[in-house]
Amino acid sequence: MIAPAALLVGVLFLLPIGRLFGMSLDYPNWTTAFFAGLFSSSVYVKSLWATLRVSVFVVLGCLMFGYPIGYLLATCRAKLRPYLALTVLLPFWTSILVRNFAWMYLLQRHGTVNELLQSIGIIDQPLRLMFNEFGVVLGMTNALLPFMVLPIYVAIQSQDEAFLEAAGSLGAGPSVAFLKVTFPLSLPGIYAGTLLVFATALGFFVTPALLGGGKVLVAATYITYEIEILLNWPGAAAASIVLLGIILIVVAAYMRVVTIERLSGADDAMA
Amino acid sequence: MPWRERGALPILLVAVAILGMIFLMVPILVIFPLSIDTSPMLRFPPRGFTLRWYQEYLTSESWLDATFLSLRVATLASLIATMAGTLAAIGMHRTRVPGRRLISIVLIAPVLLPLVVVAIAIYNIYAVLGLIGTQFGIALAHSVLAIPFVLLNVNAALQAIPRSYDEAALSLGAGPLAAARIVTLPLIWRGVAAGAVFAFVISFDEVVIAMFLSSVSTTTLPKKMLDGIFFDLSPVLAAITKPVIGEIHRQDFFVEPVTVIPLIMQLADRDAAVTSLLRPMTPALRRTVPRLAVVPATELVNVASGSKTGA
Repeated sequence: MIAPAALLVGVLFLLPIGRLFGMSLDYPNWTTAFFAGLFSSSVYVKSLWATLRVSVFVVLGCLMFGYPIGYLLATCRAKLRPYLALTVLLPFWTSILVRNFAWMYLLQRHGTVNELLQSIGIIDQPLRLMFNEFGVVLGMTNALLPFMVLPIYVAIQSQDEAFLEAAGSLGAGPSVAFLKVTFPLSLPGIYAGTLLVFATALGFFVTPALLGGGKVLVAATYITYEIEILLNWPGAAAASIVLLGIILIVVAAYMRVVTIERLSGADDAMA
Repeated sequence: MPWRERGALPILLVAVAILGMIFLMVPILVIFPLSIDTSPMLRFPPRGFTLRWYQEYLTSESWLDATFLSLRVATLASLIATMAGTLAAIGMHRTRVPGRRLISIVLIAPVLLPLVVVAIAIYNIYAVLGLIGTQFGIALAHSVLAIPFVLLNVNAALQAIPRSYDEAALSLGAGPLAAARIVTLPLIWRGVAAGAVFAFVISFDEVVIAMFLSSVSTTTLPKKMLDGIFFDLSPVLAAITKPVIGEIHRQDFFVEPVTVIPLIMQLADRDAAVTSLLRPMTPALRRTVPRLAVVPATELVNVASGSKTGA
C-alpha cells in the first residue's frame, strides 16, 4: 500500500535529485569542475553570504516577535485564544505571494510607510525600504513568523501550571518564575521553530525575488540566475547541491542539539 | 492570571506580542481596501470605492483561464496526493515494514527542501518524460509536495483509533484493501479530508514549481500573478528613480477567498484550531515537544534557592 506514494516520490523526487547530483559532478566524467567554477565566482560567494546573513536576521526577527506571541497565546484566557490565534492563522493560510505584494505597496518609494514617516517629519527624503536586504528580511520574517510561533506556543502550552505555582509558593516573582521555569522549559520549542525558520529561509525564493527586486541575490535566486541568464544547467545543479548540503548540515546540527538536550535532561532527572 | 500580578517581564512580552500580531496582520489588512480603491495609482488609504477591479478580473479571459487551470491542477494534485498518501499512511501504520522510519523520512523530505531545487530537479526529469508544460505534469509535481501533509494528517487520525479494529477485519477474511475501505477509512475520514484540503491549497498557492514547469498555455494563477509583477518590475529596475509599481494587477487579490476555506474549516473546530495546525509540522517537532513532560524536579528547588541551572 505504500507503493504508489513511494513510486511517486521515488520517480519525481529521489530520482531527479540524484540526477541533479550526477549533473553537478559532470556525470559520467565525475569531476568537481562545476563546484570549483562556482566557488571561484565572486557573485556566487557573495550570494551565499547574503543567504546566511538574511536567514540569520530572519530567525532573529522571528524569535523577537514569535516568542512573545507564542507566550501570549499559551498564557491568555482560553476564551480569548481563538481570536488571538486568528492573527497567526490568517496570515499562515494566506498566499505568500499576496502578502509580499501587500508589502511592496507599503514599502515602495511613495508608499504608505514612506508617506507616513514624511508627514510626521521623521524623514525628508523617501527611504529605500525594499529592493535591498532590509525589505527581504522584513518580508521573510512576516512570511515565516507563524512557523516560529506554533512550536513555541506548544512548548509553553504543554507546561504543567503546577510548576509556576510551585515557583511562586517558593518565593519567585512572576518575572523570576518566567526566567527560571517557563523559559528554560520552552527551549525545545525555540529550537524547533529556529530549525523550521532557518532551514526554510536558506532556500526561500519568492520573497527575495519580489522584495529584493533582482538586487538581492541569495542562494535560491542565484540558481535561477544560473539557468535564466547564464544558461548554465550544471552550474545551477552544483549550486543546488551546495544549498541542499547546507540545509542538511543545519538539520543535522539541530538533531545533535536536541539529542544532547535529551541526554542532559535525562541526567538531571536521575540526579 | 490577573494582569496586575503578571510581573514586569511577562507584561513586556505581551506588549511585544501585540506588536508582532499587528505586524503579521498588516499585509492582510492592506489587501482588501486596495482591491476596492478607485485610484489607478495604488495608494493607501484608498481614495474612493469601486468594484472595477473585481469586474475586470471576472471579465478577463486570461485571468479566468488561469483560475480554472489552477482549480483543475489543484483538484488533480489533491486527488493523487490524498489517495497515495492515505494508502501509504495506512500501510505504514498496519505493517512493520523494515526501514519504515527511512521510508517516512523520504516521503516527508520534499517539504524540507528548497522549492527551487525540487523544481529544477523535476524539470530535468520532465524534459525526458515530455511532461513539461502539461497540466498533468504540474499536478503530479504538486502532489509530491502535498503527500507529506496528507501523510501527517492521516497518521494523526490513525493514532486515535485502536489497531484491533483493523486486525479484526483482517482476521475475519477481509483483504488489506477491503479492510482499509470498510473499517479504517470511515474512522479516519476527517484526517483524510484535512489532508485533501491541505493538498489542494498547497497546489493552488504554489508558484516556484509552476514557474519552471508551466508553458504559455498552462499558466497557473500564482504564475500569472508573478509574471505580472515581474513585468511591472523590469522597467523599474532600469530606472530606479521612477515611482515604483503603479498599476499592478489588483486582480491578484482574488486568490484570497480560496485560501480562506481551510481557515473556516479550522474555526468550525474552534479549540482545535491552533493544535491541528501543528499536525503538518515536521516530525522532529512532534518528537521534541513531548520531552517537556519530563521536567527535572531539581529545577524547581533551584528556582527557589535562586541558583542557576544548566537547563
